[in-house]
Amino acid sequence: MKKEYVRCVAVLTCICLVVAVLLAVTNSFTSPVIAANKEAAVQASLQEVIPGGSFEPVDLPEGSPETVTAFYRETSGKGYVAVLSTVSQYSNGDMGITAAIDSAGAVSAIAITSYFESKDFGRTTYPQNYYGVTKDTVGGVDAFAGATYSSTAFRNALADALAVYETVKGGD
Amino acid sequence: MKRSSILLKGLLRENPVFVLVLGTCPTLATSTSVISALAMGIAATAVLICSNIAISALRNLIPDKVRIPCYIVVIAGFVTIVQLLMEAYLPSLYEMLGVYLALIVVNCIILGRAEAYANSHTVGESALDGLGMGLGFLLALLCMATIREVFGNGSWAGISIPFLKDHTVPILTQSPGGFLVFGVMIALVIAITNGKAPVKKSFSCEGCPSAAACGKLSPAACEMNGKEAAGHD
Repeated sequence: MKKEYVRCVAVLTCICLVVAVLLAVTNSFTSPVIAANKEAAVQASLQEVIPGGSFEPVDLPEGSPETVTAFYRETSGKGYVAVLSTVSQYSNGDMGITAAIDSAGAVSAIAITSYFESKDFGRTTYPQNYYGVTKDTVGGVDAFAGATYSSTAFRNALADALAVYETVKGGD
Repeated sequence: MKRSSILLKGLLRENPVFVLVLGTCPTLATSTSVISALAMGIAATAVLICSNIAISALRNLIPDKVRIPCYIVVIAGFVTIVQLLMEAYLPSLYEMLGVYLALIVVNCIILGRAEAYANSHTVGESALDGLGMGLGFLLALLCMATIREVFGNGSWAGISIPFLKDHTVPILTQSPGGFLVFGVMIALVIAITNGKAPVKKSFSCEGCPSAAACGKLSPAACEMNGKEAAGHD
C-alpha cells in the first residue's frame, strides 16, 4: 500500500517536472517575441489616444504605483499618456490600459491594449465613462458596481495614472 | 479497427460536437466567425494529438489512482505551450480567442479521449484518434461558423458577401443563434446517420469512462438500464 502511494507521488512529480521543463524551453524563445509584441501594441496605442502625436518618455517619480508602467509627454503640449497594467479577476493575463491626460488634468482618451476576461464586451464603450474625469472625480464614476474586480481594478489604475500625472506636472 | 476507421469516425459517425455533444462551450463561443473557429479548431487539434500521444505512451506507467491529475497536467502543459506560441507568433488570433484558448484545458473532448481511448490504445492509434477527433471538432466549428457568419454577418472569414451583407439575421451571431444552429446541426447529423450514431458502443453506457465507478456494468446490464430509462420517459 505504502509502495503504491510512493509510486503515485513519484509518477505525478516526474510528469510535472517534464512538463515544467517543456514550458521553460518554450517560454525561453517566446518571451522576447511576446515582449516585443506588447511594446509594439503600446506604441500603437499612444497614437490611438493622441493621434498624430510625438512622444517622449518621462521618468516615473519615485514611489509611483506599480500599475503605472510608463509615462509619456506629448511634445507639442497636447498632454501626457500613461501606460498602465493591472490585474482582472478571471483573466489569464494582465489588463493593459493606455490613458491620455490632457493639459487640464482630465482623462481625454483610453485604449485597452490587452484584455482577455470577456470577448469584446465593453472594451470600447466602458472606458468612455471615464472620459473627462480628473483626480478629484475619478472615484465618482457610477458605471462600476463594485461587484466585479476588473472594473474596480480599472478605476484604481486610472486613479494611479492621475496621481502620477499630478506629480509629473508639478515637477515640470 | 482499421486505421482509416479510427481517423474517419470522428468526422461524422462519432463527431465530438454533434454526436458526442462534447466541447459545447468553445463551439458556441468561437463559432461566431470562421477565422476564430479555424484558430480554435487547429489549437484544440494540436493539443488533442499531443496529449493523446503522451498519455498513450505513459499509460502503463501512470497509476490508476492518479491518472486524472496526470492527464490534467499533461493537457495543461500542451495548452500552455500552444498559448505561448500563439501569443508570440499569432497575437491577433490569440487575442481573438481570449479566455477560450486557456479553457481548452478543461475541454471535455480532450480529457474524454484521454480517458476513453488513449488510456487503452497504442500510441499510433491514439494519435490517429486525436487527429480524427480534432478534425471532427474543426469541421463542426467551421460548419457552424460558416452558417453564423454568412447569414448573421453577411461575410465569410471577414470577406463581405454583397447581397447577404444587406440581409443579415443578426441573432445568429448572438448566443441564442448559436444554440439554434447547434440544434439544427445535431438534428441534421442524426438524420444523416439515421439516428444510429448515438448508440455506438464506444460511448454507450458500457463504454462510458465512468463505467468502472458504476460497478463495471456489463453490456446486458447496460441494455436493461437503457430499457428501464426508456420506460420511465
